[in-house]
Amino acid sequence: MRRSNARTVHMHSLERRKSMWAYLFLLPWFVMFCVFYAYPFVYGIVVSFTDFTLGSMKWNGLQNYRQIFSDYAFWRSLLGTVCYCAIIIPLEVFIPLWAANTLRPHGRVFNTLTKLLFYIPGIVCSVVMVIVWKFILSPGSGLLNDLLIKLEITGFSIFDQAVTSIPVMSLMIVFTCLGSNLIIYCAAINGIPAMYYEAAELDGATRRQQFHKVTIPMVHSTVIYVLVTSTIATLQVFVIPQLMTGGGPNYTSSSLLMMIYNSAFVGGQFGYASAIGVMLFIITALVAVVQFRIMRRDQIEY
Amino acid sequence: MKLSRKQISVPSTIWICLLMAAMILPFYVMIVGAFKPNLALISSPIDLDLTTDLTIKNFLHVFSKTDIFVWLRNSFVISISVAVLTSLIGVTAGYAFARMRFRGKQILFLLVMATLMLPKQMLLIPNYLVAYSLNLQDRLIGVILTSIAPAFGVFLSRQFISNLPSELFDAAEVDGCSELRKFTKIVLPLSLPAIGTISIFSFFATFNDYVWQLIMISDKNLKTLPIGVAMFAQSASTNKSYQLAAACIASAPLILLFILLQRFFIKGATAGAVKG
Amino acid sequence: MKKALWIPLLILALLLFVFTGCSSASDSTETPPDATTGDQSGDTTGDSESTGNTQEDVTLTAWYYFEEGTAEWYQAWADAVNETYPWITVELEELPYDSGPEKFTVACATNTTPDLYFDGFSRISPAVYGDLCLDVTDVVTEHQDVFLGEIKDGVVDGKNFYIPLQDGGGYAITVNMTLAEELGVTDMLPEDWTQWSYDDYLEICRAAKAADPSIYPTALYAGSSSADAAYYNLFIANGVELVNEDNTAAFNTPEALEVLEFLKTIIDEELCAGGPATTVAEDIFEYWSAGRLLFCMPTAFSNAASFYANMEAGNSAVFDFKLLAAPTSAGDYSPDCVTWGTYGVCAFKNNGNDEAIKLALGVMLEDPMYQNGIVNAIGKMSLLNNTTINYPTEELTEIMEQGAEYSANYARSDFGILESWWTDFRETFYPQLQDFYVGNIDAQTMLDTWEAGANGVLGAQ
Repeated sequence: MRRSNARTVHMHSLERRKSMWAYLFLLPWFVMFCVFYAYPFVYGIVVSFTDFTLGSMKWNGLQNYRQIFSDYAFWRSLLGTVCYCAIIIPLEVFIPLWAANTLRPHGRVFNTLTKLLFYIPGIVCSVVMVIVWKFILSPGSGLLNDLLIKLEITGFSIFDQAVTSIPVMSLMIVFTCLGSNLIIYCAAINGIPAMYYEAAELDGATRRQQFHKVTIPMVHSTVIYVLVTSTIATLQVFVIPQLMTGGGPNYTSSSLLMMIYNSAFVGGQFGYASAIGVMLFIITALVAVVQFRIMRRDQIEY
Repeated sequence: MKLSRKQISVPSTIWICLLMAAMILPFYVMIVGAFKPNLALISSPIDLDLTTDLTIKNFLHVFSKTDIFVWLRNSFVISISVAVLTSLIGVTAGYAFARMRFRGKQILFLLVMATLMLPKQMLLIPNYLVAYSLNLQDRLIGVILTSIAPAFGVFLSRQFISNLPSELFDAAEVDGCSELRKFTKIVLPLSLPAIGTISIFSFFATFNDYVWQLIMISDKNLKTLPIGVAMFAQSASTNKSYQLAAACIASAPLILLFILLQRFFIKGATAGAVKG
Repeated sequence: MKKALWIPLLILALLLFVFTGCSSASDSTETPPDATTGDQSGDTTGDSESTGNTQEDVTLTAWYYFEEGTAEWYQAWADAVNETYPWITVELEELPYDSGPEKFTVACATNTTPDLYFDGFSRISPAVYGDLCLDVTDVVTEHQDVFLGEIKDGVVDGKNFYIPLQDGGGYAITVNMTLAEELGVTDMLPEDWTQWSYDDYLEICRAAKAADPSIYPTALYAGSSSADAAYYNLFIANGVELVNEDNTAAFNTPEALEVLEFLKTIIDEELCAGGPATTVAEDIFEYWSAGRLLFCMPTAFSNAASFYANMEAGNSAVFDFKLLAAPTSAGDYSPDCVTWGTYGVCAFKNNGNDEAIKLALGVMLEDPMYQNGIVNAIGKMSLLNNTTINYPTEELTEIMEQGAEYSANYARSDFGILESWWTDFRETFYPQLQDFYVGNIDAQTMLDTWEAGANGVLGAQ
């Protein structure tokens, strides 16, 4: 009895020392987190209850949030964000999966080359890419316009209606994200023991069946990981629509992050922008939590 | 690995090749355009013929009119420092989350996940206020410290380290290794792939972080590549060949670096996602 | 026992919050003492004029926007300031147009502004009305004789918070004469350049389009909040006021409908480049410098100089051009035009370098050299009477003289641009115009929606 008591005491002190080490290891992250994330975020929430504009800051309670709900631009931007997500997320999750599955039986050279080429659009600065995209797609002087003139189609602009502009810009965004997801999937698929496929092949399974019965179940958790990260990134879609259309016409191609940026830096309404920021954070967190829940449930099923 | 040829799907492979061609297309346009005189690009039809009328004047113009090497140096200093610091912070915290027991672990890790979801533009103003009050604005060290985004690194290295075989840690425990020794002798060397990924990711993210650097930096000698190129593209807003030349110059170092590092990178990029 | 572990963590967190909180708080409390020391040092200079070397050194920061050929003149001014007052150093920073305004906005919002800021008044005005700017009345009074006429911009309660230096001149429509010649429409251009109607304009466009379908007779834009100047010009020319005396929207009139119908005709008959709803001014300048645009709408007289500069630099095809006043529906009189306010400099009071700022501004106003250099480089009209302008070519001189006379007679900047509600007001216009351009709403609905939005902004003031 006494001995075990002594042991627990010993365990406790050991545990405590280990905890101290843990906190020590966490310290650098925690400092960064507090100074550059937590404090600014709390500050942002406080600002969202004020009418912070240039030079003045007055408390105005829930006014900003009330304004959000009656703001046409907010609902349009929310719808826009949903549209971007609806196009981008499936493409970003499934094209690389399909590509990785196709690459599996190929040799190393082709594998590396594909990964390389898929990845390059992602590392070039969006500001730079937009210079090139504008040169290609500008409705008055771009390469595409040149082509259309040859086909005797004039006066057409991809960017003047959301029906065409959102898909096209979504493709540009997908373009920049395929590479990293492809690499992740490739590693996951390479981790699947080759004998599974061999067995499936012996059973006479077609490639399609192998994909459904072997690949997908084996990389299930990777798919979820890619899904969650793509969702978080896509809910914050910003640079390309901002530089290509500015959100027009009449906010139809706008996104929530663009709205935050424009209310703050063009309109100077920082309180209002922060309130939208809080809304976007809540939406992102909700979606991510739901996805994580689904992930956990599915994992138990397997 | 032995692979049966039957496994290769021809139509899918063709599709992949087409996709790759589509990936290269904008770069082809960028590079050829950068070697063309402006008039070839603004007249209709646009002349992108590889065989005629090529010139390197655009590049000479960009090099002679701008401090592009100063911008490059600054961008590299900032991005490399951020990469190193981010991975260090990521691995230390990731190790604690993956291998240690302490109170508040759940909550703290939830905070890591929450940081991933914060809309950056919302934090722009308060972050600038913090930077200003710490007297960090308009200094390279300020840009470096404020560009560190450790959440991704913490998340990734936690995943990676928790997948390392636990026998290693148990053995070290039995040998009476101190935590610090365990960290330097086991965790650091073994998580090199994760460190590589984190540093490369944060390197590229920082290199291209245009808005924040613009707001933070005022000094002409501290300008970074994206700011400089944007400034230049603006000054030549009607000259497409200068713009495309600047675009080439801005993306070339990144693409080269990526090709050099690709083996390391492709190996490491998977560290976080794959469950062992 | 275990709870004890939380204590260091909590203390740490608290310390951090206090630290960051304190440092920002102390920052704001530090400013006033700073300001007073600045004032004191200013007083001592006042007492002993030439004992500059006993002064504490002051570094002023000045931000200006990139324009070809102006950098050296700002630098010359900075050097001159340092020469006259060795204790003052001016540090210059060049901002890009596309995101410089954001940087300025962040600086204003966080009280981290530069000491001096050169820009158009329309962007400076929020800072002036937000009470961030330094009162520079004494500088203006001291150099009263340098200014052409009375200063209207940036005056609050009779005090000057902004010094206008240049003016962009009246808005007008630029015509590519070389292209007009090629298309055979030169004869159709109005004989009196200030009198032509929408029908004239449309006829020329139709003829041009028929002659060569690959060019653009004109181009429209509505892609951003700043895509509005050319339209206000059309409105004002056609006798539409934007805002009533009693601060309500005044633009919902039959004349405004005429303007919108005119624009709609251009779009429906494809007389403009594609995609007007998301086009911005830069795109239009691109078509223009490619030599593919007959009428360029978003231009003030000052643009003439930059067009020439671009041709010189090889950034643009080379052609002759001319400026015409905006058309009106009847086309039988010389219309008013808008001028996009003035360009100038404001100073900020948060840094407490008041005295040094005023001395530096004095140097700029006393010696015409810097203004001459800048004005000659960008082709804006100087608002200082000691400036001589040497335009590079005779044609340009002619155009600019024509512009100066026209602007003096007809240009107006009283349509709202000087008011504190302006920034919010213009935000209400372009989304509606975009909707109108893509055909979602008709002209009357567009005016009604815009009116509702504008009244909301005006009423909130």
